[in-house]
Amino acid sequence: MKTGIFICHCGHNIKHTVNVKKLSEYFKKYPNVTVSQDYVFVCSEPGQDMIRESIEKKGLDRVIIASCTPSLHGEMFKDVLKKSNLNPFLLRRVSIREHCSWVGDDVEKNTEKAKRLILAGLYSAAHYVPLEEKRVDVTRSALIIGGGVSGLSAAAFLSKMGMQVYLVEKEPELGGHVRTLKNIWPAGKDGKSIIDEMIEELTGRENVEIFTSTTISGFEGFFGNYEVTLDTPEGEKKLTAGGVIIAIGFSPFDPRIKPELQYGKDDRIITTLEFEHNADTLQLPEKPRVAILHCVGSRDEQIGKPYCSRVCCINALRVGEAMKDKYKDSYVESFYMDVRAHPRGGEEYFEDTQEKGVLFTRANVAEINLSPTGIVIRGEDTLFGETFEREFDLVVLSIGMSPPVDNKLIASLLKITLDKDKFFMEAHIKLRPFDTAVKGIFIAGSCSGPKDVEESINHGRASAVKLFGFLNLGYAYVDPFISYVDPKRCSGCRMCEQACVAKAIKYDEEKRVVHVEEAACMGCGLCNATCPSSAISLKGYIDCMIDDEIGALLEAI
Amino acid sequence: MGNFQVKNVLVVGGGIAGITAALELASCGVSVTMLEEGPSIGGRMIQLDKTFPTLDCSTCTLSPKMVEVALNHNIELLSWAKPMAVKKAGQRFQVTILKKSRYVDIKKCNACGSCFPGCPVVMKSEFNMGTGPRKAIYIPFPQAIPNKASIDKCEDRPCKAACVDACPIHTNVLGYLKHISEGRFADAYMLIREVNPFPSVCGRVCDAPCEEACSRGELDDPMAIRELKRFAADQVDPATLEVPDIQQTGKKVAVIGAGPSGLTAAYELALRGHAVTVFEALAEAGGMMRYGIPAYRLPREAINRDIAYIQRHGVEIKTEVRVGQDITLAEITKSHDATYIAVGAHMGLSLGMEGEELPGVHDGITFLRKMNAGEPVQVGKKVAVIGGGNTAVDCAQVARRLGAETVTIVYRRTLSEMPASHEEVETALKEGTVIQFLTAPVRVTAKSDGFLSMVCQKMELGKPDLSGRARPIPIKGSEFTMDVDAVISAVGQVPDTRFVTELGVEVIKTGTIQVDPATLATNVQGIFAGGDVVTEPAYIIDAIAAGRRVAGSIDLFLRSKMVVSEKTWQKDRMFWSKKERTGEKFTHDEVKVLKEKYGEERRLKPQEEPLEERTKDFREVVTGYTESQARSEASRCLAGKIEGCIQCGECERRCDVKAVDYNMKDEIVDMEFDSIVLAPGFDLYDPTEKREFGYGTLDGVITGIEFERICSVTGPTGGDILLKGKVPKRFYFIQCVGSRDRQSGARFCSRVCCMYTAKHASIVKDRIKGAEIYISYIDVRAYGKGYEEFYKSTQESGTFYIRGIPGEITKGENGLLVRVEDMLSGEMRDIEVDVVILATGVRPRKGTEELCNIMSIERDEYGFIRADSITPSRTNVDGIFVCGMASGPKDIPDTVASGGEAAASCMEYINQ
Repeated sequence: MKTGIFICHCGHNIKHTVNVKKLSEYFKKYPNVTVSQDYVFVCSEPGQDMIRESIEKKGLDRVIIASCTPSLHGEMFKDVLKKSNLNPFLLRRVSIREHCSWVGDDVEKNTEKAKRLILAGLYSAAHYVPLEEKRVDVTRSALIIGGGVSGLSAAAFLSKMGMQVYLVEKEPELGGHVRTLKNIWPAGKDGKSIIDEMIEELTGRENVEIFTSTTISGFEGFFGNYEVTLDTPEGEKKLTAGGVIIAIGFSPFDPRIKPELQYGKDDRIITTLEFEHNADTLQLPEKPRVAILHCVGSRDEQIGKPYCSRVCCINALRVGEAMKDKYKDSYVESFYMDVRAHPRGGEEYFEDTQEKGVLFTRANVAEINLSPTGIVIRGEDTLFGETFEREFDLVVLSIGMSPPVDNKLIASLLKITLDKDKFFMEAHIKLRPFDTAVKGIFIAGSCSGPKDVEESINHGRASAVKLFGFLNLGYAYVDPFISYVDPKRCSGCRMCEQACVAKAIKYDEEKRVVHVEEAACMGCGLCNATCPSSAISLKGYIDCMIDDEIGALLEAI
Repeated sequence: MGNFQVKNVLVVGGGIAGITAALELASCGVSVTMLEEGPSIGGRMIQLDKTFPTLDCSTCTLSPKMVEVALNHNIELLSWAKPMAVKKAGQRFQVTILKKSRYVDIKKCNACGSCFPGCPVVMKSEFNMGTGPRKAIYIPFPQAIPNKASIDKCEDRPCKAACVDACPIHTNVLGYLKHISEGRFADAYMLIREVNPFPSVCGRVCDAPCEEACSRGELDDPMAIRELKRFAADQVDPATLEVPDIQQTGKKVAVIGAGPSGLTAAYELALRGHAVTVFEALAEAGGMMRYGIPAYRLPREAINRDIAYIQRHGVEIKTEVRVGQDITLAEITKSHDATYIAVGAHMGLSLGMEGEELPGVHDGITFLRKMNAGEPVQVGKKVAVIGGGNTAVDCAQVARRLGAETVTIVYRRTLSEMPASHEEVETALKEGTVIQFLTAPVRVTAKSDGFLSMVCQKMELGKPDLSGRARPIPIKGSEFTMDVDAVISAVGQVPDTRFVTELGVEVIKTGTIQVDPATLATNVQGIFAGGDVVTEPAYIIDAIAAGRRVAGSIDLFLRSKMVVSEKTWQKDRMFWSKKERTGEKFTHDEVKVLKEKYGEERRLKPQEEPLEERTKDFREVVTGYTESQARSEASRCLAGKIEGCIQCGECERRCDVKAVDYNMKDEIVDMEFDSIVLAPGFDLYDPTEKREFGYGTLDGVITGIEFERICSVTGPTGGDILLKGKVPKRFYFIQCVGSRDRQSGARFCSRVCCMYTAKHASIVKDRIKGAEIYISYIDVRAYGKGYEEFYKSTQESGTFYIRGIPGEITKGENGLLVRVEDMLSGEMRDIEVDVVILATGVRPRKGTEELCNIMSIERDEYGFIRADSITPSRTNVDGIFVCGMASGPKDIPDTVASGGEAAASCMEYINQ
């Protein structure tokens, strides 16, 4: 074995608090170390040349670069090895900057620490073997679950880009909730026309298959080639999809969960959704007294809905505006906690509604009582600290968004997780808001939490473009750091199967052993740690490698 | 199977929106050019300490994405770049891009950070929202992408910086004057120290060729560069400086002579890890600085201070060892790897005049040496000094201080030919010294009354001689006699180099040693020589220059046994050549323009001891500047008058990879794209106009983004929440500043301020035990995923939410007094706090208007790019898309989604 150790000064960054000369001298005497050199900037052009020359002239078969954190310049140093015809996975990076020189000022201690870190790298690298990135073929097709505004936007994009699209909708008709809304704020458009336009874009495209009144009954496979079983009115249908976008939307909150609201007991108490559908047919006096209750089914820990539903304040404003527009002399009062008119144009809309005469009362509504002359609302005005009791002809409940009804079913079929409110959980709340932990499976729109139309469209199309990027080439590379099974040691206990989050472990009924689907494996190592018979190893991180590394760090070797 | 030909898309803006769009497009096989107007991508998000509601470190989540941009082969990142003009041609766009120069070669710079500490220009860090400083050469934050330095060069320097060229060691004059003018005296001192181990000495007795060259002198008076150096040197006691830890090479160097040249070489060699022993013939180290210059010009403490610091670097000085007498040169060279001869020129030249040997006739240099060594010297009442150099003038002034009543300098030419510094001559005249010009002594005779009689002759000037000065010709019959107690003859010095001959070191007639001017190597390998012993008497600064040069040359010799001139030296002017010291002069017109621009500011004279008092003893004549005088004198420097980089060359000098290029030019390139994505981002509302909150007038009123930087580890306090060095305990946050506010022209809700305020409150709770926190709000808009819960937990952790916006903030007894009506209780409350943080709202990024104008993009009433809710990224120009905050306030997840959506729209457009 011929190992080359290259220790970087990083200008003053490392050299300042680590005695790099001493280190390079120290490692010269190690067996298997052919080259041990320190250099001012290993990442610089001459630094790279130095490594290349050493590989070519001294025939190095392991390269250890002790410098900055591996994530920096990682690909670049791999390229250096590649150019010298050395397998890039025979490179070991040791961070003696972030993990060492930047941490303390004591030159002696830092040098000792750097020595051990490099030593650990040296011991670990002794076990390295050449690895190859694996190319897997992927199917250029997408399964979109849910035909609402988010799913339709995703389908429109992907089909336009020439991808095979399977759009599955549980209901007989596409369009979700948006279809039923008469006026989409702030677009000022009828929901149906928005949906119709989207559907029209899809119709006639050969690469689009739409399944209505259809549910998912089976889901197998891995990234690039998911095997899906659909339950269609025509019977079972199987298809292969490279990736999936889940866009199953939300369920409107059912106010019956809060009996004090008396919803369902009197038809003068309706939800914003019902108002939207039936505004024209409501029977109201000439000067109607209308109450609008915000936050019904939102910001309510008692019923397990601690979250804000994001859209209901605007919906409430729209009810108020509509009533004022229709009945000039109406008395319209909105009972709220905070008015969350945050969308673009929302604040202005809030102001306009106030100017039209809608009253906003910051209040806690305690109870609603039915009386022959009207509906009596009792509560506390939290601004004036007074209790009130007022009678209304109509009470509109601005209901929130609840998780979609099929959330658990889809989550268990596709092996993805739900958050504490039972919406789907994103991979990273900030930067990967529509990714799941499983590669190629996305969550778009309000199935991951309340969203308005614009946000749902953004989600649908943004996840679609990401999926397109994954599948477009028809193949994908996967890291070589994947698990492999020694069938001789496998006892077939299938504990690894339980541990695997990527569903990459398959059990062979006949041979009674497991094997790893390489394309699906994410290289997390959970199976490796779980296996009681040490039959599974993770390439690039085999056990003895890690043992030796720890040993070297603790100076046990 | 990719069935698309490669398309090119321009993404304008490198924030999280632009990054997302670019990465998505790149993953779809599109070739992306990303333009970032500033030095690094990362946008506003990278300025955040943490992100709500998970309190993830913003840098930790974003910087991997930034690195992805840098590494992605499909993305070309152009920083400091923006579009200048856009023309739609068919479906495509022709874009003219301005690539602003960063004055650092991006291919060479490796972000080592050596350049920043030296830069003397301190500016407000934009990244830290002005809460901390940065240098004119800088990387805005450690994780910047591209991780390359930039120089903030706003204008060309008005002067030619002839001072730096004129200085034999190229002292960064511009730099230290800049430091002094802004009150950073210790920094000024350290900058001087970089090249000069004798700041205290040179601050007093340098001949200051820099001042002669100074461009300011062409306007009114040259800068008082030397005096300012002295001021800086007086502010720092080198005894308090740390000595760096140096790795030893094991090589031994001998230096003969502990004068300025020898000690400089010793110091520089010690810094390079060599063990240096200095052999000094006299009782104390210092050479001519100690034994040639009297204390009233250069106090002994000044010399001692500088030498002590050199000794602390491990330099051993053996005094009272005269080489050639106590030890031979051969013995020294045998026991050392290299030897530097810097014995100076201590032998006074003889006039060859009759009577020179008489008692009462002194040789000037010996006279000074004896006096400075503390030996008794008597001169009587009437003294004549022969000569026109500094030594002669010094002798005259010393004689006066020793009690002489009449001191006459006898000089054979006129005032303008006098080699002594004019300043010194002037002082001497002021102190009562008489100068007899055009006079030469002929002989001295002893008189019976104990007086000496000196016969002189008048001269007239003839044609120039070899030195370029007019040759004095005696006038026949003009002889006259002076009766004096003592005659001091100071007509020149020569080195005593008799000891070198044993090893065959080449010496020329005058006794000076012959060397290779570039390396200072003698003809004998391993022996080098420099300073007066080579040049004949020159100035201290020349001796120091020789010391610096020889140190480099000896170091090279010790490492490689080579004695070759390094390339940089070849380019260098030779250190003793005085001819090239004058730089280019301004033209008449230039002077006029500069005079108009900067006005007249005359040079400030430093304080001096009163004339009558100071001639009675050896106290220092010049007492120097006061702090305010120094700052005001330093601010006269023309280079310091400009904004940004003053092109002093410090970074250039420190850069190992030679990446700095002041002459880099802005570039304009034309490129063609299939589509454009705009993501210019946003700015935050400037609350100065809201007088009631006192931003900009009251200490302790800051904005949310400023607070964000104060909390951040990459911020000015390294992550400690400090205001003026103190940990604040009582916090008042005010929401909706510049949002939901017709007065400030923004009716809209900024969508992020409620949450970032809650985040700030929770950061404070976490880091400052017992902090008292109030938040004023109208509505708390915690609408996103996990936001409501975050708000609740902030509230429950003891933050007081007060519904109502304060009417005014005033200065209280122990802090800031916030007067607010609590709308929930109806009470008027006065709350005293340490800091008020304004949750300022979102505004379109500066430059959005210009950007939109060149592309004919419509904006809304607030200046955001107009977009609608069903096609959120579509602008009025087909093929140009918008994402992120540019089209209105958004939080990070919404921005990421909108970036992806813009990428989708872009893909549709370019593939139709």
